[in-house]
Amino acid sequence: MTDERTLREGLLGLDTIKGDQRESYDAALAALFEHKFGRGERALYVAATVGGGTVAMGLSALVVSEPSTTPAATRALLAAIALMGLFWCLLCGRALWRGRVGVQTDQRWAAVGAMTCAVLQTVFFGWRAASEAGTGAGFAGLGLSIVFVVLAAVVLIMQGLRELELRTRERELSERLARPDG
Amino acid sequence: MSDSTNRSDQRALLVLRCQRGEREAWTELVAQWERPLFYYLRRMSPSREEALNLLQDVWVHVFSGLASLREPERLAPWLYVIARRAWTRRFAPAIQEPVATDALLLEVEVVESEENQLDVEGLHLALQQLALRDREVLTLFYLDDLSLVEVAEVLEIPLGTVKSRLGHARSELRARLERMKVNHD
Repeated sequence: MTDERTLREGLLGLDTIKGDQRESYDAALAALFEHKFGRGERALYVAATVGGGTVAMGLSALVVSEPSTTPAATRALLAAIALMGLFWCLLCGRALWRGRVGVQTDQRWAAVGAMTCAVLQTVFFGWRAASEAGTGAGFAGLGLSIVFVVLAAVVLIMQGLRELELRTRERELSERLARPDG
Repeated sequence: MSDSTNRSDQRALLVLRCQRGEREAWTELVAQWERPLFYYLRRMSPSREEALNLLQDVWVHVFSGLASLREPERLAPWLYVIARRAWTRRFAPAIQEPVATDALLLEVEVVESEENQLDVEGLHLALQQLALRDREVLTLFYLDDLSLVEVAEVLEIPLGTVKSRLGHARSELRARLERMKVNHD
């Protein structure tokens, strides 16, 4: 084994990336590592940031300016949607500021955000369905919201399981390598 | 635990760290695999520039695809498959090597040999002089990153054919080395 490894290292040492080629290769690799947004991705994230911010500001203004006769539930709904807008604005704005998506963290936050939106929507339509019994509109919205909750839950669970699987395997391997005979 | 199992575990651990988004792990992965992949691609390509372009192509695929590698311990064959496919896309249509004859495909037992004691530079030079197919199988063999089964997987040929190709390539290599030695003396 030792001879084979020495032979391998010897061969590898005879053909390496050097000089100008090393510089351009490192630069290309750094660009790849960073994976900065292209024009299309940037436009998408700008739109999401501005959209979220507009929803957040517009609905917050409505909540504040609504007459006192406006039902509390409507105020609560507007405030919840404004918060959601703010959440997406911050999430997309953060990615935009960095110029790239941090795959693990951003995906997790996006999934949590989608789940929260779906749950809030379900609560609202559940309340509507309970208070407007017989009209059917609340029930239709409730049904649709439940579908969103299920979809968001599936994404969230899959992400959680994958994360757990990676952590567990990483721990097992680390322990095995740390053993004296490893 | 054997050296190869240990090595395989370390590689798998590195993959898991990359999959969890650890940036240092990516740097380690590149540092660990850049040289063997470049060596392999260089043996297969007409110039260093071409080999470097292919290597960059390999990293693009690795960065986008590593998250979906479900068996991290299979990192080595996965990387060489990507490298070989990159090379095939670029060069295969232009290369017309003679098709293997039955004589070349005879089963030859691969055994540990005196080649392990070879002068490295001589081996390096002799490798360059071999036919592409022999050069490829020997490069993979001497880089020692893959088992024979994995080499078969990378080359997309049966294990028996790998053994016979390796046997033939090694006898060609020996002939080249002897010729080089005679010329040198």
